Amino acid sequence: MPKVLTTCVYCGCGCGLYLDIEKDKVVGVTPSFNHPVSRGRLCVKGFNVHEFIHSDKRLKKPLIKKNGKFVETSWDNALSIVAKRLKEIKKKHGADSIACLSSAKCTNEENYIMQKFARAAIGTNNVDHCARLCHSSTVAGLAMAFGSGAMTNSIDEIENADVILITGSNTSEQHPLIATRVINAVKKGAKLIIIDPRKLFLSNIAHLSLQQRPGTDVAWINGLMHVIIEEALEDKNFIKERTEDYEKLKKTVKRYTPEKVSKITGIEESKIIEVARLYGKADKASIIFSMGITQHTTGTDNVLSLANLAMLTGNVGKESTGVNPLRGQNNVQGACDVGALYDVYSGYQKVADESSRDKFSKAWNVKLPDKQGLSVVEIFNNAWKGKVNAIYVMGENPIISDPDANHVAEALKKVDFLVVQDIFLSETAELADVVLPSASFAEKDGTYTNTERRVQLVKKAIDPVGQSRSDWEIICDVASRMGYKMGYKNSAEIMDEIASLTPIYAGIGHERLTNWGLQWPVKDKKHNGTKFLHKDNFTRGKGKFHAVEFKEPNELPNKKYPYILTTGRILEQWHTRTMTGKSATLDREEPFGYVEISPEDAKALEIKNGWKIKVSSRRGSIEPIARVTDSAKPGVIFIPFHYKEAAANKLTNPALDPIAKIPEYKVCAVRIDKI
Amino acid sequence: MDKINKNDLLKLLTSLKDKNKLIAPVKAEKDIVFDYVNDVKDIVLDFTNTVKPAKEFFIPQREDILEFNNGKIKAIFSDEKRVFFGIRPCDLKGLCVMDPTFREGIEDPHYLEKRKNTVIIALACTTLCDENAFCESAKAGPVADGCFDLQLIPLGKNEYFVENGSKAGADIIDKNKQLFKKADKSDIKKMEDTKNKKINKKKVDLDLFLEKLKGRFNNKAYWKEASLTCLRCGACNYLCPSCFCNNMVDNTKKRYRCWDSCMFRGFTRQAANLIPRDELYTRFRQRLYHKYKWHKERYGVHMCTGCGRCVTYCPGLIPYIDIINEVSNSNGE
Repeated sequence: MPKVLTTCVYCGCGCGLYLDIEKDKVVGVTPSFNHPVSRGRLCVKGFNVHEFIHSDKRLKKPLIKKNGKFVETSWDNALSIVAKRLKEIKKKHGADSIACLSSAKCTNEENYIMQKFARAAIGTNNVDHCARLCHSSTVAGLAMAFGSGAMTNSIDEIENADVILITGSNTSEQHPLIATRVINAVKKGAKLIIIDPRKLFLSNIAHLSLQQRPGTDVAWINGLMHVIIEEALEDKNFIKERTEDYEKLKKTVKRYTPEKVSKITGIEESKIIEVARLYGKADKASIIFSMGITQHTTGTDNVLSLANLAMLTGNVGKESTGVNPLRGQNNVQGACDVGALYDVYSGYQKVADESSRDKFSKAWNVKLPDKQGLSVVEIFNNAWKGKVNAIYVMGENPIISDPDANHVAEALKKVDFLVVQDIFLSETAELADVVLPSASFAEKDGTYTNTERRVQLVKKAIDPVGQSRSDWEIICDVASRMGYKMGYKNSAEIMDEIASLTPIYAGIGHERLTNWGLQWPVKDKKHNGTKFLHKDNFTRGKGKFHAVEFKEPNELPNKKYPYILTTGRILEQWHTRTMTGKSATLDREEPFGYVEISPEDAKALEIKNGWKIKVSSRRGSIEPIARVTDSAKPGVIFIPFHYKEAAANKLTNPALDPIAKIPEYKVCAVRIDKI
Repeated sequence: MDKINKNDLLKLLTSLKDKNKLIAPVKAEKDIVFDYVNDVKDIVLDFTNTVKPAKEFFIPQREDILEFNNGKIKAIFSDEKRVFFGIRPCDLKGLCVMDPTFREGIEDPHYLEKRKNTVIIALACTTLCDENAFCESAKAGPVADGCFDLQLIPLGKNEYFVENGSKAGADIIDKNKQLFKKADKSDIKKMEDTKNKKINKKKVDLDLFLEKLKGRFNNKAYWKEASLTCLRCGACNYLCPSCFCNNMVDNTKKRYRCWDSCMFRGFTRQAANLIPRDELYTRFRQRLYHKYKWHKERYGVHMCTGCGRCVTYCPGLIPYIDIINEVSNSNGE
């Protein structure tokens, strides 16, 4: 049957697959044998990525709310209401009373259009998206240390590392096709070290698998560096030639003896020494991390510490090494790259920088705001306070995905006007005044940028379902109706505009991406992209060490809330289940919210496997099903955040990292009660 | 006995295309796939094998089977006449070993209609398609020994020996006599050499494996170790030419069925959420026992055709061939 080559819409691996078409319907998926990431393999989500496309729950017509109920309306009517209301609110309360949430599920072109819409058509920098909640601390930390906030090396290189240190990434569940590379590396003799509060699936094949107390990452990383320096395993030449501020780091980590670190983290002293020696002696050591590192009030500190560790041993700027954040969403890298962030335009060009502002003002033919915008969490805080009066959401579902979800719901109810653009009527869309139906990834052209900075094509396989339209087309129409003309022939033309304004994307154009895309930076139309970063020089010149002190998480257990809750995801579900919840095969695997609890804690609380229990924090309570498992350590419980019926984010702490403004999803204090 | 050259083969396919929908190997953007063909010039004759097996044209990954309309239920069938050209022996045998499960007991018309309405022109292999192929051991290839209407066995680059396997096959030769030539002695020798040529790199003994599986069932430690890196993707079922399990899903307008996988936890989910095969190793074990023991005991054939896809496309890099050999060479416990 006809097959259209495209890129998977689920995670940041960016696997290549064909959508199989039969009678104008996507009926299956065929892996692509030659794809550089997936090589003919897929995970269960990839194999079933077609299932949600023709769900009978797809939004097919624009909806407006009348007397608390949705009624179908025409595009013309819906668009004029949106344009009129936004104009009114802007006039009454100013442009900064409007905020836009962009989407890491949408294409680069759509994200670019969304941030242009916010900045040029509305006149505010209040545009942000879920990257704030996953890797904003990576972007900030790696930018401070190296000058560029992305995965330093390529997925292909993982297989040839000697030592792989995975921390805060459940790689086999969240990036299965990267786990494949890790498994292959282990088969080839690499030593795998996993440091995570939970015992993970890959712990089964790890050389060492250690469980730290959640939120103590700076301590154990400083501990490793302490041992490496004590035992003279540091790369003196690299430190001298390529870095600065080493002495400051040295002074700080001197105080992090294995004994001290063991007390803080709960990891045995001898194991800290063993890991330090393994990593320190490796020729090519690669660090892989994800949200277990980033989603803390010390998220930026954690990332800086990993960067310190890599620089200390010269494990950056060469093949099969590096500091490798695995980006969660299919296009969270790209959404950041094209400027769907409150403080930067595309290519991380700062809003605060006058020359950048001039450049974009000129290109977009409008005076641009110079005031930095609001981050995701701040948007809801301000909405709650009545300072944000309208929110425009594209393809996000913050009621389930954002911390302290009850607060988010209240904030959304308070705004005067809420527009949601989505493929399904999400929990957030249910609160909207106007809902606009978008086309899914199978119904439009564009690009996604995967976790290894590879910009890849997404191709239209079928016509949009119902009256749905591409997100960029919808936003352009709203902008034009608001009096700022935006219009493009196709998404390729949008990419040309991005390339013209964005140095790291300068050489990218749809016509150049037909051979498995290009990895940025792509300096010009002749440049073939960049496999790994910081080869001879760091993006910022010298790599900068940061002396980082350990700080406790914002909320610690006490008598009333004696357990630590940490959150995450599972293989078969995706985020708030907007898509996987409509996929019969995927949803059947894990249809109910659950909580992992250690056998010791279960015994003490007299809880049995399969019982519904009550878990409460200072912010709310939920009732997940107990799953008694030794993957959890006593005192620590884990809840996947996917389920609205047992929404972990009703419990999580919205306390923010001061630099990146990422909330502390990974640690909060909870209590457990029997029902 | 007949032979046909490449040009005449394309003419034959062109003429068959007039009255039938033609399915054949073509180049999609980056890979060879099976697709409906409008112009026979698009057909690729020297392909190795496709990632997705040919079964997708008989039991599609997703297929609407019932329509609900105002309380009325209508079955959805396709009685389209099709010619499937270029199916490789392993994929062909895959269909043959799944046939009885759709035929015996309650008949499955959705599958059987498609089988009945599809003329199969198989294409035998002369080169190794995949490092992990063991079709010789599985008695499925590189040349098919049945199940086809016609089989083409390459005689060098531009000529094929034509083997007839059914009345439909004989009719095709009959009606297009001018395109076929008589095979001479040297052609027959070449054909027989191809049949006897060994091209696989991997070898297994499936009968011995079956014997040894009998005592291995309760060796939990072994199955746990063997399944250690299984990422529950379903590829070993999805991409298997002989796996046929499917799930039924109802929505408000339709009932569709879709490929299922015994590696999934939900595969045995029951009311009240009891999951008999909740532990991964039990599912891993189930797949091997079904393929190599129970299916063989029930229908007399192994449910494996040695295509090697379950090894090549496993993201957990599970070495199924090593597992088969390990168990076969063990003391059977």
